[in-house]
Amino acid sequence: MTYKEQLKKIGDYEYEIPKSGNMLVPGLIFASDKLMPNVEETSIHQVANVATLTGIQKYSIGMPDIHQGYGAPIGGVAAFDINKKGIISPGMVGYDINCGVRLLRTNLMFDEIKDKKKEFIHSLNRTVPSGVGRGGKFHLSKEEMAEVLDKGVEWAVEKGYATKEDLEYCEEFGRLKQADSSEVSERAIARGKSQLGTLGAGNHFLEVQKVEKIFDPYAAEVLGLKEGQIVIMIHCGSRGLGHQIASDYIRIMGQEFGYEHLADRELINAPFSSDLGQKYYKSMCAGANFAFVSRQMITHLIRENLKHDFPNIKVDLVYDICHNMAKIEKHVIDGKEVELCVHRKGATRSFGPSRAEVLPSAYKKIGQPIFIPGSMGTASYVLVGTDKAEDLSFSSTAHGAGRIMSRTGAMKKYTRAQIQAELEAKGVDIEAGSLKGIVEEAPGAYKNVDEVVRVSHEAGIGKMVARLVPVAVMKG
Amino acid sequence: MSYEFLPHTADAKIRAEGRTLEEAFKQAALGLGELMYGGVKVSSTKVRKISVKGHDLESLLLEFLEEFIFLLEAKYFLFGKVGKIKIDKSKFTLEAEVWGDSASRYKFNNKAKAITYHEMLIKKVRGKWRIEFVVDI
Repeated sequence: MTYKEQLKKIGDYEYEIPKSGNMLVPGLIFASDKLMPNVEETSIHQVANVATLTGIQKYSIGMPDIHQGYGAPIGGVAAFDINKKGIISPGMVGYDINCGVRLLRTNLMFDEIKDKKKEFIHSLNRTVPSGVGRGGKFHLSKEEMAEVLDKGVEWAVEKGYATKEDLEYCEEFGRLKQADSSEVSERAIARGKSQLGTLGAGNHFLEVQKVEKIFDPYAAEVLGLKEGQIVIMIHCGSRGLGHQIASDYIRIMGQEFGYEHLADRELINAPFSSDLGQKYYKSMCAGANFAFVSRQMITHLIRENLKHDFPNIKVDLVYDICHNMAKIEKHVIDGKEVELCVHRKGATRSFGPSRAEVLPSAYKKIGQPIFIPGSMGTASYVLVGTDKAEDLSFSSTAHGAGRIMSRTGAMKKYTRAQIQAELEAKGVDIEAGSLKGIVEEAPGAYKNVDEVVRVSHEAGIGKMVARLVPVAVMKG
Repeated sequence: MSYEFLPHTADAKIRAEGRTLEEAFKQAALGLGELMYGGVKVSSTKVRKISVKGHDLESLLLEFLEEFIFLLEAKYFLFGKVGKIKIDKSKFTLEAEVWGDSASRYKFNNKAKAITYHEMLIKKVRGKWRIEFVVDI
């Protein structure tokens, strides 16, 4: 029987994969009847594989945007008890450490830019490098790289690339304190040193958006969002530096612990408290800091650029969230507080108001902001975290629309002209490094983001605040 | 002697084949090249020597392919073709000459982030070496 055939519907939006084989806990997937047909057997199998890893608690979980990854699925969440030999796994974090999303709000309204939106994105396109193959605008020395990796956005504040307020509005306040650049290989630093402040390729983007609809007026007001307002969304990660950290530790862990016993070699791991587990964790935090700073440098470039055309512009950070991370968090399991290493791969942390101590002071009443970008040309959403998510999903929700079709499949099904016409019909301008890339990111290759967000909202793992629609897109 | 892309929802899966293991490795590199700079013709103006070591064939393949991403991102060297290649199947070592050019001379869009072990396969099928691997993109 396939894993999909074994699924048991246990709630309106919850499907359980019963424990079988070497699974230590059952699997749990958040989906609606509408989304389920697009969830592949391979990704359900990957949820089951994660359930076999040492120290896993409660459930191996799939978010509403789950799809096939390597080792662990994308949209996968798993928590390991670090005091019970719980593990940390580079493949369950993902190669693009702290791939994430940052939302900037401006004081511009759509009406003020609608006649010049082509120029708007064109000018941003010239300002923000995709950096693919050539590097970006900031070339750092080894010593500067070490500071970026250890200090995160605090480095950017010191250098004048960030305001003090920017720090407040990042997950972890823009700096993972456990970061240790001395555990990061020279190879990783060599790959990253000219990539700071670059977008990269694939599904990474910079998008100018309009706030189209507000669902939660109070939360929207706290976040400074109103209908018709122009906001800018940045989606990118730690580039070659993060990829190399993952590759390095997958290799070293394989040598030390072997992989023959694993369901998938990409699930290679080390006990969190072991030497190797600690080294990876410190490196991962360093990679995450690099990604925070990278999104900060892009923010800096955008601010500088927009000042020319809009002298009175204000560009403030709403929040900056991580997608691919392992975090140490305390959660209550069976009435007892336990320390967990929570892996979120293609998933977003969803802390409610009860986690006030780690939230910006202005957001303490509404919970942590969450951004779920749709596929190219479709809507994106702003949500806030819920206290209910603690119980349901180790405080996690979706991170995007989630692919349903391979890139090769999209290339066979769509043409460039078709996609461009579709975007134009919606009034979206696009600038891309690769025209092939546009076809691969065709909206039809993704799940419906409206449904993904609805499931998050209805299941209670992330609450809808606002819907954003694209005005202009720049792809790496 | 060829490579092709196989379906994979989020990433890119490549199958490469060759009469010898060396030829299959070469084809695997060309498949990766398509993800890195597809459609661009890279001149063979510079040569670099690659020397990698693994502890099995799979890790050898991974180290070999990762080298191309490293050369691009850290040394701005864009490879176009693989010249002489020598694999020691018992020591899991590989030496190769790769030809290419300065990356800054080309407009392209590297999508390859990392080579993964996910669904990796290296085996002889009907007298030919077959390689399959997934690239995180």
